[in-house]
Amino acid sequence: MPRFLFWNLNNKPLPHLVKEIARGNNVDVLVLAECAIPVGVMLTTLNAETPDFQFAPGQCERIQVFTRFHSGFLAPVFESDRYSIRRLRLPLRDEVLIVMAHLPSKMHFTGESQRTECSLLARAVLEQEATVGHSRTIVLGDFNTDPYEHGFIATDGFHSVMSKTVARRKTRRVSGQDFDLFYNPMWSYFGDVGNRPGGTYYYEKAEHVNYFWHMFDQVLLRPSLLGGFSDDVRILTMAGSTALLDHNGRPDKENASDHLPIVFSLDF
Amino acid sequence: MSSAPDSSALEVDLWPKARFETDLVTPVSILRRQAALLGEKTQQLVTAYVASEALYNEMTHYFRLVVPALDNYKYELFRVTHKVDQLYPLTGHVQDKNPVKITDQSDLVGWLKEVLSAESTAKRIDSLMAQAKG
Repeated sequence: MPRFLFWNLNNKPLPHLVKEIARGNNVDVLVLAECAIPVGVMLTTLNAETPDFQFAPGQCERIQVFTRFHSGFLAPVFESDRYSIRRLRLPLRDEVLIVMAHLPSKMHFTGESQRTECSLLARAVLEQEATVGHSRTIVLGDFNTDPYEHGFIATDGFHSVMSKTVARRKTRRVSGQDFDLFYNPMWSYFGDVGNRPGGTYYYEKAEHVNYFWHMFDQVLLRPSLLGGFSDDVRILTMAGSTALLDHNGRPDKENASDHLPIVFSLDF
Repeated sequence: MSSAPDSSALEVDLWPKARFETDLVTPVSILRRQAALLGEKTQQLVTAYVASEALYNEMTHYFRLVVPALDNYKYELFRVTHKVDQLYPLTGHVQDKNPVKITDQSDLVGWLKEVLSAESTAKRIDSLMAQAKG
């Protein structure tokens, strides 16, 4: 079953940690944001033992993609400086669209502007689904937006829901218009029950409303893919024997990244 | 006491006498013109088009490169937005730069020239042309 990994590296030189995670989790499609590691260095590190990984180039400099599939199976079809939409065409499997994105930070964009960014990307996804003639679509990346914010909830955004049962309706009618749904499994990973991290990103500030943990790194699935999804999403806290959290249980910005990686499996 | 119905109200033209302006050069027509020019400069290996849509009371115009030989691969080079009911000011969004306020037509032409002649744009088109040639 293909495995996918997304990690925002915060421009840190972490090729060995990436390798540990990619190898240790049998990752097939490795998607990196804020990756300042030269492609050659990443490839030689990933392939130090066996030459499995290929670089799958694209025009979106914010996203780097490496894969154990032939890179030609993961061709980009629609890109901008913020996202790369690719068709994953594997032999004997249905084609899927993979949308990989890194949307603007809350440091630079207001909530309204972030919502607009989500809407623009959601529209690009719809446009590409219409072009390829199917909606077997995976969206993953660092959206700098939480699952409960309008950009992820509203019909003109990703329109993603926390419930598979609701998502399986496929569309929802509002004001006479049907809107396609996404399932967002990341809702189920808020909070630290089970000794896991409370999210993928931690931010603390002395202000009255503070959530501390955020789920900026997310994966969304169209309902047509849910048959091959077995709730197998994990927020990783280890890269081999190296902890990705500091002694306070927060992402270790010094020795790793300020974001935690997410990995998931999907059969299609 | 109400007055008797007066049907003359149905016969008057209340619109102003001045003609409506229909020959305005819109921002999107300027973008479309530049999009149309790209193909002949690249042997049609890389072309461009402008897609428009209304979102949140704003019109958004996307300027996209297309590579027909790469399964119609598309790259969004930049976008501009303006209020639905007024053509200017525009806001120009290009890559990771801060959004730029464009106040009028000459401002738009200057900004477009800057974006289209940027080194990063030339590199991107070169790269797409090379891939299109296989």
